[in-house]
Amino acid sequence: MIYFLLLANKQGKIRLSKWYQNFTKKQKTKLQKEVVSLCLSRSQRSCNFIEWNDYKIIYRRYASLYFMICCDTEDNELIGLEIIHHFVEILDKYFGSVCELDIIFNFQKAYNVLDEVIIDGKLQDSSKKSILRSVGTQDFLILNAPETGTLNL
Amino acid sequence: MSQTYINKLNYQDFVNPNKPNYITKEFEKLIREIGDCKSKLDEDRLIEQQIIKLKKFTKKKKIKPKQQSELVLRLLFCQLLGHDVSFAHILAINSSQESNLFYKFIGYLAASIFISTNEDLQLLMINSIQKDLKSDNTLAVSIALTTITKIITVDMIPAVLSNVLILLKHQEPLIRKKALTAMYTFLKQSPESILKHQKDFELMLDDKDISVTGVALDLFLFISKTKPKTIKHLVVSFVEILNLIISGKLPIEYDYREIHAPWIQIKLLKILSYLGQDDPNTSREIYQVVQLVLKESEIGFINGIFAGHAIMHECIKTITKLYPSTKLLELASIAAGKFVTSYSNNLKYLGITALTDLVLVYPEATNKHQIIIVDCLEDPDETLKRKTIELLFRITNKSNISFIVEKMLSYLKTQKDQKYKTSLVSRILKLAEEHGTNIKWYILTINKILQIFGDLVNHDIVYNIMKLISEGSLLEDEEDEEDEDDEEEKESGKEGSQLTKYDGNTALKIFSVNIYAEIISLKKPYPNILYQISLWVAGEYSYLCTNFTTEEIMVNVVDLINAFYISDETRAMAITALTKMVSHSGKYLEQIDTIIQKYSTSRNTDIRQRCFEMKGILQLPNIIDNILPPDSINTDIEIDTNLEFLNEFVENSLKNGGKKYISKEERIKMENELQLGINENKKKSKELRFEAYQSNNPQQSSTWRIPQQNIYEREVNNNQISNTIEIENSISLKVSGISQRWTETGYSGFKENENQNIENKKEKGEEKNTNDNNQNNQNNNNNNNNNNQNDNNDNNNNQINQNNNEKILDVKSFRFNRIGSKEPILEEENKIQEKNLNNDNNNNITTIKQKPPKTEEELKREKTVNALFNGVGSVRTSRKKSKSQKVNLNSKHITKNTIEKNNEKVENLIDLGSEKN
Repeated sequence: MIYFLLLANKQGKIRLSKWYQNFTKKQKTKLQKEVVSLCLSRSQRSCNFIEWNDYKIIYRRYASLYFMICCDTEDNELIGLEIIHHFVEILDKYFGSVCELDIIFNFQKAYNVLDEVIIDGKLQDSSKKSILRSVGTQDFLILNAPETGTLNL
Repeated sequence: MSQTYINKLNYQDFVNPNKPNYITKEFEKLIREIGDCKSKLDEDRLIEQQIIKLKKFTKKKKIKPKQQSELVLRLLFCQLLGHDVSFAHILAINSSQESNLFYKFIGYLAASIFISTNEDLQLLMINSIQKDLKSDNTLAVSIALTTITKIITVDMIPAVLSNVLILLKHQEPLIRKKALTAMYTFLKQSPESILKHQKDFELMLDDKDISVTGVALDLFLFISKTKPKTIKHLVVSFVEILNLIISGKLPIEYDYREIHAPWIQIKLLKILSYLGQDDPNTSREIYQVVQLVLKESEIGFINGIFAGHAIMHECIKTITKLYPSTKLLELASIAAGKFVTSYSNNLKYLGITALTDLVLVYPEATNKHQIIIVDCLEDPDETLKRKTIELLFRITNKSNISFIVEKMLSYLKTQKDQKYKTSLVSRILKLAEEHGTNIKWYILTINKILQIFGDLVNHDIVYNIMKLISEGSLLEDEEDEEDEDDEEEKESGKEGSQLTKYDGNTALKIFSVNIYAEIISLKKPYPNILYQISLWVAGEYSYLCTNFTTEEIMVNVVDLINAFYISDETRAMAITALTKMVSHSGKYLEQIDTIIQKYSTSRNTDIRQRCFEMKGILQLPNIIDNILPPDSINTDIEIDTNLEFLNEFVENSLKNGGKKYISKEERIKMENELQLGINENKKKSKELRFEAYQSNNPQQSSTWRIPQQNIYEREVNNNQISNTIEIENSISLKVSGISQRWTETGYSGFKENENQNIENKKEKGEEKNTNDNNQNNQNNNNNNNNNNQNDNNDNNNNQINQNNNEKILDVKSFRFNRIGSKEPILEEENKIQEKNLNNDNNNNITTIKQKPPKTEEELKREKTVNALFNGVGSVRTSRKKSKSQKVNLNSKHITKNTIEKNNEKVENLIDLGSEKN
């Protein structure tokens, strides 16, 4: 099971975080810091797994972005890598050659996509087509939805 | 109709260069500003300003749905940057209750992020979730199910379970899948209540859509871990599904880079491994299919596909867990070899992991790869190294111990993590003890470890080594202590080779004293622990040393005592060692005088003490050999525990009129007896017998008795003056002197009252009582009676009675029932009004659906009754209830219209494409 998923850039700034178990705010910030610094400090030739406390961190770097997931030690590491890759491929198809900026400005969409890929720490669907279809359906509705109101603060 | 239309669309139809923009310009500006921030402080300031603005806005009475969703989005952004926006979590919930799907989505998304499972807000969410689960709109159902998985708690499961069970048979695979995921979440939280429905999700294994089966497997994986026996009968179907996948009969979209549905394969393998564990019969059913999967996954190795590797790795794991089969184990070790020899670090790591597991059941697995494994220790990758160390621990044996320990030590030198180092050192020491074959090697290795990591070592090792050297191999038979068992083995192993010149014991001593004398002569700042061993050995066996003369050692020790880098404890030991050497050899150095002078005034009392000891001993040259004889550690000193030599003295003093000694035990016994005697006397004099009064009328409540007894005691005390002598003499109580109002059943005056009271209860009379306790009871009765008279509805009466019994024990579930049942109430209310209100509805109240409907009048009444009976606690809950009720009323208002509106809207939208409503 995946306990949490983090997205951070090379400077260690968190771009996306998703928690599949309850942590307090304090724990979250602590975990984020630890995990990100652990992953960033590793050389490129090292393997993509880190045994960390009672968990295992699987991370992968795509351009400037690090995708990290934290899971049980008994989980299959390679399939964890494939989950990351699967997610990235879907993001790529969805945004059309995805980059960090896409995720910064469309974080809600990224969350939406992530919700279709992983639910409750499990891979939801291994078919890209069906995921993109359901995400697309949502967009389709939104495209026709009324615009959000301005708050005029 | 609209839904099927959507599903036929291809995702590419939606990939539009002008993607819908959820974000207003204002919001975009904020995001940009934050992106430009140079420090965290700037960022925080900006967000705090934003939050203050948003907070003001939330206080407005009327917020349009549009604005609300925008607000929620911005709050989400603030939360993401680590700020507290708990004040507005309710907005997310409101937004999730909007009719427009777009707002609903934002609401649910935000709610699932805002609300952690500890909060009360989730109870409010249940209402809108229940509503959406029944919706005709697939998307609404889908988002509701997704949210369930995030916010559900054990208490909430019954409220949505029935709905979810229905959704398991939904026509859309997406919904079936999400419903199963929700079931999985329930299963994790309360396994018992969900396992009742096991049949329902067993059916899902045969689902048309393989992805639904995939999710169902999650549930079975969970069960197979916790209760494997309950699903053994399903092994056949798991094997069948796995066969189906390998043979490539699935739709092509489930292929992931030429591998058929790798995720599902891995899940199946995991389930099978749990089911086959320690079960030869089940394992036999699985062997064949695992072999097939392993063979099939080798395609991955040819084409370099990670998913294939993953399956292969899972196969190896499964094989190690199953009941051992030599054929499969061989295949597994070949596969693991492929991993280890590969160039990618990821695969190497997995290979090492696999071998670590495999070695336990199949020790030959590592034979071919030992060199590669050891090479992994020199890889710059830390994770890989640690895993390799783990493996090395398992494959160490007598033949490779020296090589492996050497490698480990060189690895240890590069380590910085103190905690990890400490654990590793102790493990290496243990390893050396277990597998070491040569005692010399053992001593040298320990020294090497102590030189570098002396601070990390447990001090027990000092004692072990001292004992090892002093007792040697000759005394091994006498060693009984558990700790030394391992060392015995070692000693017996090397015995033969060492018996050349001396007997083994002396040879060992010569060997070790040479080593340790050298260590002392090096004068390096080694850890204290090493010096302590060295000094002890040098002190004991300096006369055996062949490489140094005793004088040389003594000079070195003197230098050491003056060195700055040793602790006081070590220094004290050094002084003792010096004393021993002087006494053994009879030689004396002038420096010793200066040492004694210098350290006789030391602040450390231990050092001072030892200095004076040395001084004293050196002044008695005649008996010096008797005080510290060489090699004395093994000579047992006889201790006369009876102190017989004092017998004469004792007899003399007895003769002179001294008291005889009484041992401590005897003294305690005597004291106890004395005290018992006193107590018994006391008891006899003061004890009263209440036996006659214990057979009281059972109807009498306990509160009755206490005052009676008190009064009784008091009265007896008053009468005591006349009766004391009688009571003291006779054990039984004489009642003759006491007033006759006291009967066997208590005070007869009160008794009458009580009887009346019971009669009152039976007859429901209205007589009032003076007793406080009775008044309460009476109130209860009156209330019940009043209710009976006022209310013709039996249901309500039942309800109240139940409340009366349960009180507020189950407030939480009760409150939640109210919320949960809100929706059905609306419908049922109408129906029942049509039928007849006077119908008997004595159904089971505990289940939500069957719960009798309540009108607002009833609710009010119930609240007041609750308040009367249960005091403050229940008042609070009833307030809460009314609060949640308000929210419900709101939502009710919305739902009536919105479901219809909503459907219309969506249909319009979809049919007309770009047309706006």
